[in-house]
Amino acid sequence: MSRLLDQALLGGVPSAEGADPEIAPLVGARPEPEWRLLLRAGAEACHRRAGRRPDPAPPATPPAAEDPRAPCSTAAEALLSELLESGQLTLLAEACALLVAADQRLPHPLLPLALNQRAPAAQASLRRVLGPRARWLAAYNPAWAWILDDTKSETPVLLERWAEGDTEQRCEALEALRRVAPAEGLAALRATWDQENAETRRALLRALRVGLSLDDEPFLELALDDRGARVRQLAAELLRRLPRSRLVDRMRSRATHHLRLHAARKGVLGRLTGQRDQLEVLLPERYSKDYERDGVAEPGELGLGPRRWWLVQLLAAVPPSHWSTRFERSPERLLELIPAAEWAVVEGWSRAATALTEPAWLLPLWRWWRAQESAQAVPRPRVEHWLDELLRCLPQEQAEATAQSLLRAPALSEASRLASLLEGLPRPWSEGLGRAWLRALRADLDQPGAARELRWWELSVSDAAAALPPILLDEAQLPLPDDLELRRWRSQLVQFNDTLDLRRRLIEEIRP
Amino acid sequence: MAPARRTARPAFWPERGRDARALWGTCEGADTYETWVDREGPGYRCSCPSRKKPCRHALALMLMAAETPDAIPEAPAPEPLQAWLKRRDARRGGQSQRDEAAAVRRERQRVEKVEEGLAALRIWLGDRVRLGLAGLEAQPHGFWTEIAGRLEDAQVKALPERLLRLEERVGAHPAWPRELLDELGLLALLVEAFGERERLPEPMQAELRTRVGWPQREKEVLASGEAVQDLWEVLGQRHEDMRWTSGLQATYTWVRGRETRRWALLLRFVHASQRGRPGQPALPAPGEGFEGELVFAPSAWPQRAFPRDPPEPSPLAHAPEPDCEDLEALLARWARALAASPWTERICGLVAGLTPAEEEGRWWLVDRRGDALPLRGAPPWTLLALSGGHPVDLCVEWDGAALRPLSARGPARTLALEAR
Repeated sequence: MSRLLDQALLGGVPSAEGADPEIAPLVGARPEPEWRLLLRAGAEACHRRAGRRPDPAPPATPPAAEDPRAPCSTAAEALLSELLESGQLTLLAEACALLVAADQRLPHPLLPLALNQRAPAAQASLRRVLGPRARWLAAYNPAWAWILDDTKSETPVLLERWAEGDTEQRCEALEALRRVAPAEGLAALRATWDQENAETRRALLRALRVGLSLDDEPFLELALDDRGARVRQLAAELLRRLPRSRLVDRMRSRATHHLRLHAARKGVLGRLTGQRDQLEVLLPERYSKDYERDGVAEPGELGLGPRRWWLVQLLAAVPPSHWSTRFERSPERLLELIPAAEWAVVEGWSRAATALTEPAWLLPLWRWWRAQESAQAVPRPRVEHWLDELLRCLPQEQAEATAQSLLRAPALSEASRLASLLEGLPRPWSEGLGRAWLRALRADLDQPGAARELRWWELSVSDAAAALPPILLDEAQLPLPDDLELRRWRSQLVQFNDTLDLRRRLIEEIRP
Repeated sequence: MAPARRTARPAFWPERGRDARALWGTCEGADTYETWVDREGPGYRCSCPSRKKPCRHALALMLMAAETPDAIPEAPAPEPLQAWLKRRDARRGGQSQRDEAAAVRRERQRVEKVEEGLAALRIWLGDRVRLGLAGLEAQPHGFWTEIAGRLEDAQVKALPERLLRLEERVGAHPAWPRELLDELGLLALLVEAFGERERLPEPMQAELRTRVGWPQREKEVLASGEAVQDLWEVLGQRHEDMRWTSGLQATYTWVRGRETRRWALLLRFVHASQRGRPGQPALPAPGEGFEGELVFAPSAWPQRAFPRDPPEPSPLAHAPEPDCEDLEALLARWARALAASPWTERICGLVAGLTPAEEEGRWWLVDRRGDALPLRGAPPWTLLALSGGHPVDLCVEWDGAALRPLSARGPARTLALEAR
């Protein structure tokens, strides 16, 4: 048989042959040897094909573990498939939360689509829903390994990727490891630390943000003496996030001397003399040697002179509560004492309050910056930055309250701030906030319109559609405008209604 | 039309009559004309000088007959009219005889052309063996399109596609020389069999004509093919891009009769420019079924079929039952198909209890007895997710070398798998 193949491969005039008896008469009647070879090959092919037997099976692998949850309904499957394909991440998050609440799983055929999601937000939502079947599948496809990251039992897989991946994969593996076992992650990093180059050290060190705790402090203190300047900076930045670290201690004792409160006399005498509290700012005299080790940069920034900039950096590392305790004044009271020209102090405090999340300080700081909107002495970009940034860090209740107060009279000039505040709020919104937003929107739509270019709600309407609480979904449906003035917004409003409708269907279809 | 409508009043027609076939009458206006209408054909004759056919008098007669039939009394046709109708019949008979003669002549010409084309293919095939298959790896695409084009010109319309598929196999796989020699051998058998077709039974002759390139025309098949009435379960559907006619896509829809257990293949070709255009009746999808008659195109292993009426699919009430206990049973059917026609390209089966398995990047389907056959194409992710390593009843297409999973029998419904 393979003689035929050899002859055909190499060419030449085929030699005399012993033909298959069945086709011998046919083959024998043809003079050309090539043709005879082909006819024999054809006959053999028929025989071989017809006689094809199954192959032995490859070694069996264990099947997936049972998932005790029931799959969601067919209608829900269709909706979920649509969400996964269109990448509507916020709705996907809501659908996943509904699945968790109903103790249901994705139908198995949807798993490849779910596991193919690359967006971290999508993966975060899906992690809570995907079960043993998805983990079993991930073993067959390296692109799906992300689903394995959150389970302790997968630590060996992560360590393997940590040991063998390129820098980016190693960072991912280390972050994943820190999520489940911070101490093991730190140990892994320590083990290879001395062999990495500066750039890699910095990249890997960033992974310690995940699961950061005082246990990391000794290592980070060592990193403060690293050869690489950017590694040192990063180590200092990480230590600043640990309010009980030695670095924060050092910074606190440095900063303490630079703010001094002259308290007003108490009681009648104080009132009579008109004396009031005063906060004195004493700028650092010179750049001391140990500043650099703790990550304080020397040249000025933000248009500030070096000395003011050093102060900003010192204050930024000290939890603001230190000052309210030390001076026995509320944050509001202290902020009243800072004139616009000394905005560097508030800059430092704002940095500290946002990095260390001190909720008591955020709103007072925001009000202080808001009061400076027209002040000449404060650079406009700083005001803008902090008005957005502080809102973003507000705890939900305060943020909602602030948003509601902004919604009482929404101004176009504040539309983007309002939008970024609303965007950052956890979803769903409270019923109160949802009602406030809808009321403001309806009021705006009711206004007999001068042809305004932009409406305040255009920047937040898509967030609202995804964030309104379920209880409001029915009444939130908007009548679509017909008058010419509002035509321009028609498509946005249609989309708003569609999103609400999709959410309503999700809630209806995914229930226990 | 307006003059005809003005003339279509009984007042203008003192004499008028009709029978089952003809209308006649005498129209009196400035002149008098005699008008005959043969409603079969149709044909007209009028003594008026108009050169229009039909003239306004003939139109007027037909208008009256359509709108106020009572106005034209039934009567035996006058002698001269009957003679005229007879002459017309005789002429028409001659015409159809002439048509038939022309068709026979065209068919003979086509056969001659095809035989010339196959003779060229025979030489080309012989050259491949004499020059050695190994040399094919170095041949450019044009080498293949040249012979394919010659076959197309010779009306050997089915083989260009087959040759371009052979080109794809060259070098694609370590075992390509074996596969290629098999295919070339089967082509040689086809050429040989076509030459000897008159000694073969009728279904095989039809098979050979199709394999060589006579199209299976829906009208002809519906008129003469074997009709089977059943509830047809749609079990698989996939699309394939044609290589020779670029932009042409074939859709293979596999259906199985619930009672008869007959498999049928519904084929549809759509050009890229037409895809998604309205006007194409939707194809029934896996998980649906339709009641009706399928008519099988004559063949040694009849598989391709045409629905008598457009299918009206509805979801299947009962899950289709497997008809192959294991892969061995599927291969047994394959052997029967090949025994009927060695050129059978694919069969379909609903095989019980198959599990996907992987070994070194190659995918297999394993049956309950531990036998396996390889899978074609990309990793079967959807199937793998559905199965979770447990056996599933699967509708698979087998092409002699590998399986394609087309649908899976789920607990509640039939799930279509990768459509390509």
